[in-house]
Amino acid sequence: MIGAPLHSGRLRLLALLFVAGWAICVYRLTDIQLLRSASYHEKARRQHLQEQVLQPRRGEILDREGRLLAVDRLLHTVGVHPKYVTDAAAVARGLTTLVGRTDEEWLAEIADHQGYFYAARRIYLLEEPPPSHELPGGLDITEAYRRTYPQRRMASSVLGYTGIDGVGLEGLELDYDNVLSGRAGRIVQQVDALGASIPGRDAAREEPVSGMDLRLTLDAVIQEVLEEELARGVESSEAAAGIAVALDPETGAILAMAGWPTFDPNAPDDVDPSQRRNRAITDPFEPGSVLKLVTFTAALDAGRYTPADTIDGGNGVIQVVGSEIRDVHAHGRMSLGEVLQFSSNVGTVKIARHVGENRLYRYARDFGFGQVTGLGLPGEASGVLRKLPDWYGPALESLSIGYGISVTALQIAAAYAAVANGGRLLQPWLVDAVRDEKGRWHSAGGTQVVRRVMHEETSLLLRGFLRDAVSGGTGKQARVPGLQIAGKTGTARKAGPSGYEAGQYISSFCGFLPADDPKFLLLVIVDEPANRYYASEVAAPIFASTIQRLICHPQNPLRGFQSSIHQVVERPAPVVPDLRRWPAAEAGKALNQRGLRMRFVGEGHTVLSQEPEPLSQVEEGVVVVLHLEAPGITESVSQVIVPDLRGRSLREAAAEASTLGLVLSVEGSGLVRNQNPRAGTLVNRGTDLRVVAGLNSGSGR
Amino acid sequence: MTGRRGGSLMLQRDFDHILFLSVMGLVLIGIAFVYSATVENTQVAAPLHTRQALWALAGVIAIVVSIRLPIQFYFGASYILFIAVILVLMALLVVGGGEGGRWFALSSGVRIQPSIQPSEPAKIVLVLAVARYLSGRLVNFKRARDFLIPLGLAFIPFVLVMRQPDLGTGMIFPMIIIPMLYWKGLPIWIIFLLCTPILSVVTAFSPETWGVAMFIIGLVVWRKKVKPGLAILVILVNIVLGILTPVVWDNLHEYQQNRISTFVNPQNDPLGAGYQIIQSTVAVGSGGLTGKGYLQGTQTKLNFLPEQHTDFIYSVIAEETGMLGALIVLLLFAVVLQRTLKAATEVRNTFAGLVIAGASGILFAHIVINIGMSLGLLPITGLPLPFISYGGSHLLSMMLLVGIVLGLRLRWMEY
Repeated sequence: MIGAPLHSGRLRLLALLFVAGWAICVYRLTDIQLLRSASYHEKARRQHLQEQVLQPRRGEILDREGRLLAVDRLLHTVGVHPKYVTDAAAVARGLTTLVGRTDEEWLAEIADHQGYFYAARRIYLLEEPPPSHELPGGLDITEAYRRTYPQRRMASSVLGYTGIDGVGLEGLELDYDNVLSGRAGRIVQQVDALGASIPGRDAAREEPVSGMDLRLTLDAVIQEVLEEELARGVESSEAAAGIAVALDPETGAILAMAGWPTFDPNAPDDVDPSQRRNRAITDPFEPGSVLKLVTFTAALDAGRYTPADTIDGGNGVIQVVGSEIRDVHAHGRMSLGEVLQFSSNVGTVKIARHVGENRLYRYARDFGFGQVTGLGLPGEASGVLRKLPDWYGPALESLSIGYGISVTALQIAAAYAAVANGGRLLQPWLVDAVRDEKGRWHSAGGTQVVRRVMHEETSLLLRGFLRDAVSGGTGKQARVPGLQIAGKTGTARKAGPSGYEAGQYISSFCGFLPADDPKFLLLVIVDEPANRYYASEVAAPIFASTIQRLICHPQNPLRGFQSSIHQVVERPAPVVPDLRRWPAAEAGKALNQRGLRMRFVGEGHTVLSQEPEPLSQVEEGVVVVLHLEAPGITESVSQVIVPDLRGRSLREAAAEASTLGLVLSVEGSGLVRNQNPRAGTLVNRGTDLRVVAGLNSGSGR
Repeated sequence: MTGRRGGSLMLQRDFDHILFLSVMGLVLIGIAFVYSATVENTQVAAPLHTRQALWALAGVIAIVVSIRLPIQFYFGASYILFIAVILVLMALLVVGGGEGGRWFALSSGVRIQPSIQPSEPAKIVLVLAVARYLSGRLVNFKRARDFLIPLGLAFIPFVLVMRQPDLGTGMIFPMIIIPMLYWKGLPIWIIFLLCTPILSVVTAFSPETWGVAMFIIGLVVWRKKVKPGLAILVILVNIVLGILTPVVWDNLHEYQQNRISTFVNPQNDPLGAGYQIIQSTVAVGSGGLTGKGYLQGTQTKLNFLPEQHTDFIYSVIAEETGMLGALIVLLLFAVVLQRTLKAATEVRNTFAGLVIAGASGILFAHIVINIGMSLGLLPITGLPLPFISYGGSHLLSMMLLVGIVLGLRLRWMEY
């Protein structure tokens, strides 16, 4: 043991070194595994747990018959993570089945990409995707909803629209956002260092709760017909805008609410924001003669006049403070009813002077002018009704003929409804019922009497006057053969910055039917008609043509108003939804929901046509026949029919093309004017669809 | 193992059961965690525990064989083996192997498994050669030659392995030699002076610290009455390094600076060079006291932890078994080192003692550097953890080393 003394000393030092090394390691372990473990644990969690929000399905908006006005449609995004692809052939086959194109093209794509890539984003898949655990490795599919308004422009100003995140931004979508939106769910997933989620390793999953559905008082048939007639009337009179409101005067339920110009809520950003407003509630105006109703109500209801009284129309002119008021035609001595029937300004002013300022003001206020109706939609205006002593000039005279006051269309409709229903001002309402996530309907609205405005006898007298105004007065153009219609026209000059402007009018007609037992009330307003301006020539014909079409409509929506309509029905009578251009799988779901059965004819993935017709009412369990794509084409599941994109915006065109799996190439900007291949051609998915767009394709109007 | 073998007296009680069992325990832990690290790892085709187990079996055979070899065999073969290994390393540089030149494919052309990593046996052979040099004659450390020649022997594999390039493994060679020189009696202050260049480089960035370091160096030189020539050399080298280092630093490319500064502070580059250090620390830290459970380590299973079956296997153990498991492994290593050091003092043969001292140096360097790296204390060098990290050459070499230590310990009475 030569080195023993040396070695024991050296051993001690080496041992000390080793112990020091160990001590440092143990210290470090204690530090990070005990003292700071929580923070490292949190770091690790943040790395390997990824939270994915599960978008809830937004509630549907249905019309009174259960027709779809707004619905969330399921879209899929298909992504490929090449690093996790174990069987490229299976992935390519899956992509071809779900997205289209060919196996070879997908194999090439997979080989080309290093990292994650999207095979398709937010599209309707060709087939129902298999559950995620059955997907081949490296392929993943995520779901998202897109708010879709299958009736496109119909009732858009009432429905509003949602933003890209599915949050309501306007109209009912905004007002009822918390009802419709539901609650988001989430998946907490484990992801690996490359960011790929690990199948079957969901750490936590919270299912989203679908939003509740709304059933409106709107009737899609009335709405559709009204919108078409309003648009036609506005265009033929070369007017700037139009407004129409249809009410059930007995209940106050709004049956239709239209504006023109309108917009497609599927692409709300395509139009100027001003086009998206709901003019019937946001745009107050000076109504003119339609408001003579207030003067006559006051005159009769306060007992100042009886129908037997007569008024001298003079020579068609009456002096007021600093001015004069004229009639279009001079009338001699008229009965009270004739003053309204011929819409004599002179006669009305005389009546008003006898009624008195305070009384006239009080009746105007009782009719609800100057206050919001309480409908609840965003942006409702109250209009302006000033106390008469506050005015300069001919305050009483102006108000009596509908000037010096601003009102909204809905306020006028509600006022006339009060006459129609026996004297009660009702609060207009729009949402009838809400369906919760369990499918139960809960009443969300109903008739609410704001106040009694007049005695029932007064309303009966007024109805008679208004009937005469249509049958033999200014409202003759509103007549429909075989129907008893009561109504009143109004032709108001529009006030500009420097007084009333020449040639700028607002024409209106408000009427209801049947005159002796009113069930349906319709107000039509045309703003700035250019080629003619008398209400009798502009607004009244729109009223008449709308009524005409409705009573001839196979489903005659005017028929069933006898029964109370706001009853909560457990299940609305099935109506065949408009499924044209829908993906077959989606169409099936929609029918199922309504208790209808279906049969596909032909092969393909998109509904081409359907029997029975869209919106027709059927019995439960009826089989709906859906013709898919091109009937008889069997060999090509990946073929689609080229849609007609002409006249559509590029955004719409792009959405349509991507839905169908076509590759859109665009030349120019504006609206689509031309396309190749032309509409109706059968092409493969992935085919180039060339469109030429131009700016002024709208000039043909 | 009782009775006389090869002319030596061997008693069964002289077989170090504790050392052997500790090593086998570590090997088994290694197999278990190589399985955990590779079972669902997309970066390896199949779990590698079977291969590791086969290598462990080979290691047991190596232990059995090496125990039976007499001291004289190692002594006699040391130089020849050293030259042979140097030649292989040189050949490797010329031919080139797989994976950055560290591996040597057994068949030419197509690389088939298993391939061997000659730098692993080179560590053992260097220990044998230096031990023979230091024991074969009267060594007098007053002559600089006597400690410079062993350093020169270490320098050859150091340079060859650095050229592969494998910095981590290369640095091991001089580190092994220092405990052997120390064991042989090299004064600690000479070792200190040998290390002073490193001290100068590290402290050069702060003039005050560097001044303190220079003061200490001067103090050692003065107190130990170093010969004037050597004293001037040491002082001069350190002054030059102290001045040059900041200059060189400024002339480094940015990426080179980044590599170094990332070690100092991994958060500088959390997705690049600092990634591995951060991920390993997160894996260890998130393990907590008792761990996430065997096969349940999220950072391991989801591949956040890099190189998990080789360099960072300790992090896997720490994540899945927590501080308790990490401490058990440290404890087993402590036992292995303690038994090895004890054997170094017990054997009477100088050569055997130096070999065992060198073996403890190899083990200590690997353990501390690897675990220090896993815990984010030391830079990433790619040194494996003995007995545990996946890798055939390394496992076999380390078990062979233990076999040699066990064999020499068995013959402690021989001179």
